[in-house]
Amino acid sequence: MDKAIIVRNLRKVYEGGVVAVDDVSFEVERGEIFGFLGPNGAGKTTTINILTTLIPPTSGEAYVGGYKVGDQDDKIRKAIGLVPQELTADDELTGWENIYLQGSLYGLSRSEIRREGEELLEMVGLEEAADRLVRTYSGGMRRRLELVMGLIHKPDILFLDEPTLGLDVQTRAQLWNHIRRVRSEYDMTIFMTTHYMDEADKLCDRIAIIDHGRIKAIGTPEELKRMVEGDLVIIRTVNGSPLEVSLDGIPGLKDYTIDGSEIRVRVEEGEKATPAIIESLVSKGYRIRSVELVRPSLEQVFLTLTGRSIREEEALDTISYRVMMRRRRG
Amino acid sequence: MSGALWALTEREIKKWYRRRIAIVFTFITPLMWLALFGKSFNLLNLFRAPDDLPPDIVRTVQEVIDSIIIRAFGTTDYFTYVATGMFTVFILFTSMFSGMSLIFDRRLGFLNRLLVSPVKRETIYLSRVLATVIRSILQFTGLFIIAVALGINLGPGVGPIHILLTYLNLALVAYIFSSIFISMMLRVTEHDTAISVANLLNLPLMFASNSIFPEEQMPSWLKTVALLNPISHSNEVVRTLLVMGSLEIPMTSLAYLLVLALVSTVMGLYLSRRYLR
Ligand SMILES: Nc1ncnc2c1ncn2[C@@H]1O[C@H](COP(=O)(O)OP(=O)(O)OP(=O)(O)O)[C@@H](O)[C@H]1O
Ligand SMILES: [Mg+2]
Repeated sequence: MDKAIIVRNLRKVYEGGVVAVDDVSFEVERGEIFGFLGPNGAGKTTTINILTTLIPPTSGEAYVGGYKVGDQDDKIRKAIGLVPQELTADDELTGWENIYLQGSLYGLSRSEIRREGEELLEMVGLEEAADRLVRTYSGGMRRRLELVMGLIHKPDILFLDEPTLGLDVQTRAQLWNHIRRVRSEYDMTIFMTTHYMDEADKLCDRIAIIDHGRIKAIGTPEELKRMVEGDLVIIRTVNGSPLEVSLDGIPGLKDYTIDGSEIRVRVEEGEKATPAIIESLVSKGYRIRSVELVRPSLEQVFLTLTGRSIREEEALDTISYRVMMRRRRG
Repeated sequence: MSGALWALTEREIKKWYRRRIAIVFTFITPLMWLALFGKSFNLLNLFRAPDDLPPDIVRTVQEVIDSIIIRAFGTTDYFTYVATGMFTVFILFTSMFSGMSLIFDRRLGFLNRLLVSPVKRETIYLSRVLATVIRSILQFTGLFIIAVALGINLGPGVGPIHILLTYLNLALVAYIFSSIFISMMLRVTEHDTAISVANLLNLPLMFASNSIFPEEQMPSWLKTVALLNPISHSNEVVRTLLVMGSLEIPMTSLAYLLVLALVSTVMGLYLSRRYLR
């Protein structure tokens, strides 16, 4: 089997009946960075936990590195590395002590760990702090240490669960560089999850968009973006559903949908069309609460596929451009 | 993969000695028993021959009393009796909380780090047991020094061999208790559970043994419990070595402890493979 990961009809129902992963199937090629993009609670961590042998699936099957999850867990464990979503390095130990411990779990000798560790620490710029207790690290330093620990045994397949969660924009960009370098230097397959659109867009070779435990689309960022053409103008009204609006004559109009007090208009050029759309709404007596312009982006793909934005505050640091306007009529 | 076993054990030990304050606190309870109970309840002093009799009769009566006391306690010094009993109880108190680190590791996600690695689940379990044995033995040294400072009467002829065998015996006891208590915590996610279990069991286990009083005086049901209690058997061994200064360790007690160690090992290894997920 030459695929790094094969997942077929995977399903996970937690005790209590939460369906976290619902009939998920996908394949990851060797050497690619494959991203799972989805909002909180989409089932990303659950999928990673199944693939890394931490929890058993309810049904379906999965192969990691050619080995079957549930049957050949020991072989899988030797082939993979996991950088979990939570920071789980021992904060009562120093960076180096954590690295030694991690390496010894994989049967590495002290000298191997030292050699690899020095190289990795240098790559992420953590040499200076490596002898300090992890308790004294900042969030970004801890994330970088987690990455070093996940890489110390040079796994064939690396799982990164939200590797840049909670980091500032600059630190995230640095971490992306580390991830790219690791992939090319060690020839690794990387399976990562994220709910940052730009991260998925810039870092991943292929992306699966997951929501409510289901995969909505799989493809390269370009393929996914091609699914939506043009800009999306989203306008919310104060006084009810704008069903009576007439959008004839709007420049570059493609189509539109109305959902409650919200109207989504797809047009060729958002800036040009927006004033005309607003005018026609106002002329029918609708008062406008907000106007939003979304560029062709993963954000828009996500919106189109799931009918909602990934998370309000996350949308702000995506490549989409967003205008919020509040108007009140006296 | 013995490298992993040692690395995991080392982690426990490191974390332990970095919490120096906590180590000081572990001595408080046993110290209270030694200093307050052992010294102030020196009840053997109550049994004195009356002074208003002729001196040679006083001497004879006192000899009779002493021989009765020695038959029951093995020494005429109650402090020495309690101190040698507290050694094993101290090991129990230390081992009872040995499951805590596992619970914290589960909570903080550190355990998952171990579980996604190829390290054997039995190794994770054994490393905790090993760390507890090392920890309790090192802490015991502190208690032993305190007991000597407070005036424990070691038997005539107690030498390095007796002390060494005492250490080995206490290591065996630490092994038994920690493997049992860690097995109990393999599935637990709340550290309150570990504390409750420890609080529920510590005093009953101590009183239902010959640590502070010989079992001969106990009602038969309690005596049965005391005879099954590994603490009593360890006390027999410790007192033979340190109070009587003899190397003739009671074989039934030693055999009983060895069997318990074997049973708890088999149980712990089985349960860790099954429940450490
Ligand atoms: N141990 C569990 N028991 C019950 N339900 C769970 C458990 N773990 C996760 N869930 C539920 O399963 C769903 C998916 O959770 P999961 O952690 O996989 O999401 P996620 O995509 O990783 O989200 P996030 O971005 O917040 O990390 C959620 O509804 C969550 O509440
Ligand atoms: Mg998650």
